[in-house]
Amino acid sequence: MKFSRKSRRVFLQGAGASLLAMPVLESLMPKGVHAAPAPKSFVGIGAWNGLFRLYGPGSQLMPATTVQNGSIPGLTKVNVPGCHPIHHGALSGLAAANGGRISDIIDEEFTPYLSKMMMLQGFDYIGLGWYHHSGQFGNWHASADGSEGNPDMATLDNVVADWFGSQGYPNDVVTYSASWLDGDWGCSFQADGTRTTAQFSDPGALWDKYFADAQIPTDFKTLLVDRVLEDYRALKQNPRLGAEDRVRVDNHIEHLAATEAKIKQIGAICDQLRPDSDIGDRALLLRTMNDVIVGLISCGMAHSFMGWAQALVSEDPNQWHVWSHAAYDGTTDSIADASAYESLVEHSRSVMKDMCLDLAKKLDAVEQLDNCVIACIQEHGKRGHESWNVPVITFGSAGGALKTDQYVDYRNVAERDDLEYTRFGFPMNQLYANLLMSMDMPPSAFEPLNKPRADGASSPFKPGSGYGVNAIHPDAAAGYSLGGHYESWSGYDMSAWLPQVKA
Amino acid sequence: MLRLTTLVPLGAALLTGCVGDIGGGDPGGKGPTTDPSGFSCDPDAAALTATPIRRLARDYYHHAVHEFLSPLDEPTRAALMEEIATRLDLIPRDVSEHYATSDQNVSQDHVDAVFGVAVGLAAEIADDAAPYGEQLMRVCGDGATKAALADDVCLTTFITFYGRKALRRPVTQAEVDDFKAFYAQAVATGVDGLGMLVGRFIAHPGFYYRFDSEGEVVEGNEGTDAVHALTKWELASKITFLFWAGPPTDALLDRIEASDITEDADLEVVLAEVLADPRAERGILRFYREWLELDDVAKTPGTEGNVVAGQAMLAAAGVDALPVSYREDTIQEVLDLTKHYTLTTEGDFGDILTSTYSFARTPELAAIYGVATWGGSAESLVSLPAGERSGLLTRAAFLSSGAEYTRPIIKGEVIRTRVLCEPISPPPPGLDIQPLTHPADKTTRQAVEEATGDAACQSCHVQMNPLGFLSESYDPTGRFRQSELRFADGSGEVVAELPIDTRATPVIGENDTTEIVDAVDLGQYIADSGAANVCLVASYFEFANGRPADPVTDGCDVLGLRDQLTREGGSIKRVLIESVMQQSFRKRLVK
Repeated sequence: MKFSRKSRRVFLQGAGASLLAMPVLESLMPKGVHAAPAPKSFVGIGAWNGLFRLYGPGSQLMPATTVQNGSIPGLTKVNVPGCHPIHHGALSGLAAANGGRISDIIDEEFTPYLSKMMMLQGFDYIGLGWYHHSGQFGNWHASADGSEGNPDMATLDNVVADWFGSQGYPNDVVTYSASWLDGDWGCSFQADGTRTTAQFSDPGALWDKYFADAQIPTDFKTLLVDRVLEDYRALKQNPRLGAEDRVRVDNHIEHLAATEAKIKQIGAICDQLRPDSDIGDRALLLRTMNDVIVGLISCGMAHSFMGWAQALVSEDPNQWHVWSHAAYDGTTDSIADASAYESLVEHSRSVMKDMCLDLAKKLDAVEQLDNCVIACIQEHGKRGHESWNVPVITFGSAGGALKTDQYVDYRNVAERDDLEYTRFGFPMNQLYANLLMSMDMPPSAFEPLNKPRADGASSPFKPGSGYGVNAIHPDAAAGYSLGGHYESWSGYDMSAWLPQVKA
Repeated sequence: MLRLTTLVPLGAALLTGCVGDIGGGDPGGKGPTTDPSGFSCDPDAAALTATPIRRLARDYYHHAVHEFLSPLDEPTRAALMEEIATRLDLIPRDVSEHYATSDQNVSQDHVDAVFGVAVGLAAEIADDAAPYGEQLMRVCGDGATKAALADDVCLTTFITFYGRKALRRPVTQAEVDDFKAFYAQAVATGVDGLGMLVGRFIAHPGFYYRFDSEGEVVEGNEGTDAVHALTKWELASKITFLFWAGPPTDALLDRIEASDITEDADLEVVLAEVLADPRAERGILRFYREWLELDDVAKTPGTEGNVVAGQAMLAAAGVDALPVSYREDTIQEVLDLTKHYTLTTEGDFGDILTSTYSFARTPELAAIYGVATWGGSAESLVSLPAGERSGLLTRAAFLSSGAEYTRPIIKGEVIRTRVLCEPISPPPPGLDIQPLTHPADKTTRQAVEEATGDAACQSCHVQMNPLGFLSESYDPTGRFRQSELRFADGSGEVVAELPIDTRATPVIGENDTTEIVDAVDLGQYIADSGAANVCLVASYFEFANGRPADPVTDGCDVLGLRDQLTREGGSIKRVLIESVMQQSFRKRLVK
């Protein structure tokens, strides 16, 4: 039987075109694939530096708050046994009290979605000392010059993908950015420290990977992949292969078998409009990338994503870093270089709007947001390369697991001042654990993935709990008193739900 | 290729430069010899290193697909390559410290992508509305259509021809029969047989991997520790992937059929042909591009910091605007320089370090140098202004910072680590590295000296700073200057003009206290010392073999290559030839 394959050019659509996504058709599901419910989806978005007015009275990102006598007026104070009190309030209420917006960056455009958001202040990367880069999603080894002393660990996107794979769902990880210039791809790592290889800075290329073959008949693809698999398997009979050769052949066979499985999966029948490949405006590029991501989630083809953008409002990804150091003095809360500061804020605004909010809106439009969580995690607090008091903003409730429409302030506001001395909060390990649990991954599945530091540094928390290196970095413990902040948290279970997070 | 940021020492020893020629491996004579570079030649310690089967690097794979489609008319081939372009782009970029070919990771994304290329190509060829299948059928005669594959003679011809292209060796009778059976199966199940054949060839393990173990076992035991002599076909592939970054052409395969390049005499003749082919630029210039990290080093002037000042400096050189291609133009100039002394003439590394010719093909770069553009011919070379600029280290690709200030530390680091192969430790943890400030009354050199003057900083910066200071006679665009200009913030207004000082002690070799004048001197100084020769050949060894050279087991090979540079009549081309002639290239240890 011959077939006439339509050129993909038939489907070329201009940039920013609306997505036509076909829903999953249960009747076409191959055997072995879960019929219902559909898997949740995780999107991690890395925000960089953060050295601007992130929180506090003049906040341009988080709700503006003041601290008076160890409390935050306007928020509800909750005592947490074994820890310090936290504060929380409804985002919708906070926006209403602030002229209809949360802040300069989280403006009116976000307001309709506040009911599906969490804004969380005060997470500490306990395993990172002073002067780190990246590490937002759990690999605290690959930060600064790699000498933090932490072992490599898989980032959340890979942990989630592996978990989904173990449950019979597609286990692809998709990482994306605005430009190939973001060459370090510093957020997504596998457990052995190797970078995730699925990297896309072209929404057309991402589309091609998953949808280009939709026009090719399945029997055509199946016949070919089956025969190629046979060719590889036949190699194993070759007596001239050495042991190392066989490892490589086996590796290829394993992956090719997965390729074969994907060819037969339901996602192959999904039809999508192909986006433009040549988009110069990087904000538009990211929004177009979101279109494809929504398609992948809607068609059940991928459920774990990691995005970041450094070369977003400038050609040089390092400019972001230069602005950060030049623009703002966190100690005096003053702006040192207005131009650099403005650029930094604009970059951050683009990350929040073009990457996070835009994706949330589009997922919500196809009724997928509620089954997802988009987690936007800052690299630093507002005072230089500090590893603590970092804000996190989420969209989606992960299938109702997360309690949305709230701002939760995890800082210990009874101590320090966020100027000369940054306040400390709750361990990032616990947030990671909660995000994994929101994907229905139990602690018994992620806790075994934890690794200790080689120098024996520890923490007072329950051993093995949470996700991440369960040890307080020696610099942070000795020099910065982070260890002192957590001294009284003996046996604290970082695999438990954070206060106020669980629905 | 993505570059990792950690530094890895070359081999196990710090290379401190090499003076003099001690001679290469001499199995019959003098016994072990140790060179100041840290490499030693002990014939008894020389040994092959076991390496597993190797996959094709991303670019090599592209070229292999392109070559497979060589029977198509050029416009048709280009159209088909365009149809599968995004599938090819899905192949993950090679990530390695220095050389793309060193990345041998094969992830799910690699396998998905290369299968995607195969199935995409197969589908395009199966499409009756497209001309691709028809043109591929020309092997069965003009006007042959895919229907001709029903004829056993045509089918055999097709499989034999394309099988040899895909597997880079003649197909066996068993393979011919197997592919015929596959074709029959496809047709019987209603699937396009021509597309299936092509898809299977492109997805075949023999296409994606190089096995290099089909030849005679000359030592050891098969499957455990066998040393295989490469067959002439395997050797041809290894040579072309090294020098052409692609597979053998049909013409070369015909040549190999008629000769025995496992014999030195035939090998030398074929090598000369391979090196004379224009494709040789692809592989060899790739080496220089990766060795010197040109993609990381080269910057476009006037794009960072005070861009107005950058534009003003360009305007002073007579450049109104830079083309988008400018950065690539500066890289191309370095590649043309290295090509001239590697392939066009039989030069050595000293020639590259001291060349007084400009290879600037574009008016903008030529204006930076103050010369006319070069037309690309070796017969009409353009001389650089005497005394102002000469050699590799004074090229714009190495000098341009992108901003309104030069970057002596980075310039020095590149020379120390890449040209001299001397590693520098990363900054200690906990160090708060702030951007350099540039007061109006201080030159960049003075600012750097002040910022890195502490003893703790100097242990590393003494290796970098002087090498960078020597080229402070070039402004941030790479243009020669007599003084350093200071600009008002955000503007092109000059607020100060400061005298520059380029004198420095580069420390080439142990205990070197010689002060030299500038970057022109530096090129000559390094050339005279011979310090970079081992670096070049050891780097080339790593490029060619996909692993760093071991100072002991590879010492004879590396020093043997170095001798091809330093002996009477030596040249870089002789290094390239010798690298293939060495027995280690022509064998593979399988464990």
